[in-house]
Amino acid sequence: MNHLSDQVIQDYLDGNLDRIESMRVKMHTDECKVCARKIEKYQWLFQNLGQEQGFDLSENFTRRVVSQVKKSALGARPFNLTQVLLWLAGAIIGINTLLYYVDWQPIATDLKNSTDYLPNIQVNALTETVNESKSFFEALNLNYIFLFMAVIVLFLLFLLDKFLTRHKGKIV
Amino acid sequence: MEEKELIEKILAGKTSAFRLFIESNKKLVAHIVFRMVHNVADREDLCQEVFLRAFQNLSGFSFQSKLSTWLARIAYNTCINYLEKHKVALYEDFAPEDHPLDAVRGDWRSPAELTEFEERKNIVLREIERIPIRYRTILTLYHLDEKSYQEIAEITDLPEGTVKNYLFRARQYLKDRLVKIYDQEELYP
Repeated sequence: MNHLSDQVIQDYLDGNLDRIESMRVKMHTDECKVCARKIEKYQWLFQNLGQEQGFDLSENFTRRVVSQVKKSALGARPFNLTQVLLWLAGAIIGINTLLYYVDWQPIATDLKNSTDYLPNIQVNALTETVNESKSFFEALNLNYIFLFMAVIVLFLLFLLDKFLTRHKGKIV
Repeated sequence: MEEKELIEKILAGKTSAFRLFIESNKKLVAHIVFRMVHNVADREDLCQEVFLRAFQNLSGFSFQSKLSTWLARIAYNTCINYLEKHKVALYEDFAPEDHPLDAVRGDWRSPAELTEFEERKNIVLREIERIPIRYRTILTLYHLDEKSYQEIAEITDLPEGTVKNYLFRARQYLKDRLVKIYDQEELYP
């Protein structure tokens, strides 16, 4: 009796044989104990090859990968002019709003009194700069309207940024 | 979630999408890395590197294969680069029967770790270590990750016929080894 080759047995277990070939193998193993045993060995082997053993990653693996990717993405972030302009506009508006509504004179005086080690010329220069900025802002005489317009400008810049980066992240 | 949608969300910066991508593919990456690289200390770092590379190259994914196949290829190539850097020979011959495992695979494991493999349930794992790296990687991709011949061919950059041949030879070798070395009554139910 011709025995089944290893190739045929493996193909049989992989499901690569057609129906007739498979039936032939089945009929042969019903009669041939040698081949039946051989198939059992391969089946046992295949079962063990498919077992998950020793492939354990740490519990916080995903978190670490995400953290690592974020770090590398931040480092590689390209220069974004729109964001810089937005920050600048926000800083200018914020500082001038603060100057308009806050009386800096007493604060400057307290600062001068408490910092006896600072040269007078530096404190005076600081006070003069603050007063000039405040005068400029007051000269506009458009406080609430100015704030409203500033918000509009910021919103328009935001829309512009969204429009310019609308394809970012999309696979076209 | 479809692959295209997932990739778009990852590229748009959605952390949750990237987490989902990692969770659904980390086993596949671990299978490949753990099977190819023996240095336990470096395995997890390599898995991390694989996902980092995947993220960096994700915008270039062209949908010519499945995302998992593409990722597996990155994992495979990352391991090959690591092995070449550490001068581990990617030999193609099966280890002779009398060849000690240390010499065969450039082993980094301590004697205590080797001793663990004497346990019965690790018999197959122990014998797999005697097989060349490419063969055991193909075994893993086929039996653990249930990849098709075509997918394995894409991952390993081997012809499909070679993949089938390697798979056949590896399994035949393992079966013959197990029969020869171990008592049949003990090993097989």
